[in-house]
Amino acid sequence: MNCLDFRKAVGAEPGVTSPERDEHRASCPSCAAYAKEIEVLDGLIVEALRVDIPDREDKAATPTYRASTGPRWGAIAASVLLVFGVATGIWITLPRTSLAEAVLEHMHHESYAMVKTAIEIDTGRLAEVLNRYDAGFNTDAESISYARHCFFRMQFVPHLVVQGDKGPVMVLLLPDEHVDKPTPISEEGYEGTIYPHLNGSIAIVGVIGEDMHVTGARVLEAVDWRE
Amino acid sequence: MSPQKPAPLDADAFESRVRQTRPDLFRYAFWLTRDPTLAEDLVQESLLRAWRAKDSLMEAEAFKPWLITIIRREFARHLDSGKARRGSEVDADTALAVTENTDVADVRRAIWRLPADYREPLVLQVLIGYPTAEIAELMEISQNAVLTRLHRARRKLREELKELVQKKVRQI
Repeated sequence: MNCLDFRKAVGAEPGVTSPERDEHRASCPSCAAYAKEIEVLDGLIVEALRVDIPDREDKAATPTYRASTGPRWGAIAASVLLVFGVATGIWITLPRTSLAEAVLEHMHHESYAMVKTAIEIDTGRLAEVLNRYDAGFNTDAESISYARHCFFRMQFVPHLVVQGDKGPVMVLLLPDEHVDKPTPISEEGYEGTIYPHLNGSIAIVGVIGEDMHVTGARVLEAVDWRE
Repeated sequence: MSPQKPAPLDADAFESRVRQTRPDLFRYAFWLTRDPTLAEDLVQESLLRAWRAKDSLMEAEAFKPWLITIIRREFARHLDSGKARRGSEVDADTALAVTENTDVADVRRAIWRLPADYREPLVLQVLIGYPTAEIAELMEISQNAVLTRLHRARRKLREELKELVQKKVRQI
């Protein structure tokens, strides 16, 4: 093995050893020094690649975007980008999904659950879904046709479908997704509200024709989501 | 006797694996996109796709490589959609949350400036722990091409960070 081959091999795979490499390293002080530098460099690379991750649990994003309360990672980052973009005269267009959009998107992902039906789910199944969130639901008051853990904006949330007066009504309990006040959401064929809750928020969306003021209030009453 | 198909991941198992792998997934996406917001969006979308397709995962141990592949495909789809250009519009110090000049910040900036073709295999090798063969398979290039890119990436970083590296060597 010559010096060039040794340096290429070390530069590509510093952690790999072979008799040829060891032999060359032992006989060539210059290449031995090179290998040492690459090993040190790799230590620096490992440390550098471990950037802070946005942490949903303690609400910390990255040091730059950290906030003690209030907006989530996406919103914080978006506002930082917006300020940066305006300050530099560059309008940054990146895809953003608001909470309302994400709720509607999720409903469409599981559109098969948004059906009018007289079939209720088993109460054991409902309890299994809700218990892990310290939540319950008064099934005497409402008929539930669907209950599932769903992956929603980097966490699992309970997704229920209640049978309303006119059709299916989706209910999402959204831990750590905060809204300041009841936030209406609507889309062709659907309307609803994201309600603030001490644990986060509760999104309730039904089909057009359902009186969502009445049904929404009724469903909220039936939800028992302990702090 | 035909091999028995493993049971699909349930919600708890899936969530547990997400918790274990999410830091690496985010960091891979971050260095792929050089944009923290886009990286988070990519990871989220990829996890959603993975959750929907979880029954197709044959080995639970393959969870991270499976997600890495999905993230890479999602990013390619994102680029193809015309929503973004390769390489971030976000400047390095904003994205890296760098507030002061430290050795780590200098190394991050140097990695940031690497061409994407050099940066990605380096991230996969050093951060994710992929062997050369897996990097080649993921990037759909030959193993020799991977080795060349890795060597050039380190050579470039060594040149850029010469003083820092030599200082650290002297401290050993």
